[in-house]
Amino acid sequence: MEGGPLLQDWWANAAKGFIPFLHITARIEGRKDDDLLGRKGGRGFPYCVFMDAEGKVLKEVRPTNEKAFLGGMSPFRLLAQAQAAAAKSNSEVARIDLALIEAVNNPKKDAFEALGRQAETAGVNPEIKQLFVDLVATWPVREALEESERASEAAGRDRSKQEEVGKKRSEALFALYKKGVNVTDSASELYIPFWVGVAEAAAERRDVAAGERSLGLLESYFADNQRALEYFKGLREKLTSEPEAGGPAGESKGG
Amino acid sequence: MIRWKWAAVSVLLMSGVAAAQPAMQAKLDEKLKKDFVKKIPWVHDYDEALKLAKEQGKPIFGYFTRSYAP
Repeated sequence: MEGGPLLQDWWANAAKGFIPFLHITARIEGRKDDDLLGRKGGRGFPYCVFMDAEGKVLKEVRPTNEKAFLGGMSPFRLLAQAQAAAAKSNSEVARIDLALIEAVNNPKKDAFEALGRQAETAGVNPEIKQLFVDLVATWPVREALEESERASEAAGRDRSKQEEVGKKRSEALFALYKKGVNVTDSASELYIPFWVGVAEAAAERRDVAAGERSLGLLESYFADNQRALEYFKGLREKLTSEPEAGGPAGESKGG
Repeated sequence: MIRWKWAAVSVLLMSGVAAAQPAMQAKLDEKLKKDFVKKIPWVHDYDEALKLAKEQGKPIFGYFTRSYAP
């Protein structure tokens, strides 16, 4: 981070769209806000978050590259833009833009249907509309991951229970993939967990088509991460190996 | 006697902490000289960041790092 993205010009330009706040934990006794990382939910370094003007954490981001970072910040950039436009104008489009981008930043499933109709209004900001459409399309993925997170918390430190939770998560994501749900935005926080889940279940089932697609995306995303590539190599080997007796393999081969 | 021992231990620990503090400050000062810190006008004070976010209607991007270890 500090020797890479944070030294680049795209970063300096992007930083103009928000208040860049640098916090350095120094372990100096009595230093103001030295414990801020923990108060904001951070567990390790570096930790990058977007916050509102009240200090509420809106989203954790991984600014590993330009695309991921700019994608991660766009909902907040567009929110500020829509708030400013709505403050200046009482137009219906300004109101809808604001409602849509607020929904993206703070989603409530019950409002999706009504907002979906409003999103079709002529003149709505296309970037905001696309974010909203993506939010609704990937909502089942978010629900599956949240359910898995609750199960993981309930499982505690029991390793076999955690493995079971992981398998169920992969199967749930694989089922969504088979229904046509996709996470195409590599800047989304859902992208990696979704495709890893699909790849794991595909390897388990020897579903070559799903395995090739998910592993291809992951290998491209993690091209510089040797440890991740090793893990995907293992999944590839499993994908083309003989199924274990009694396993789920063969149920959807090649699908 | 036991109280004395604890008092001695406390004094030793306190002096250790006190001795470590200038070293921690030096590490923080070193960190602040890094190129990434100079690249953009970072806000270093949390309350100031909240105030600017309110005034300018912008979200805050918080980057959390440390100075006491690489």
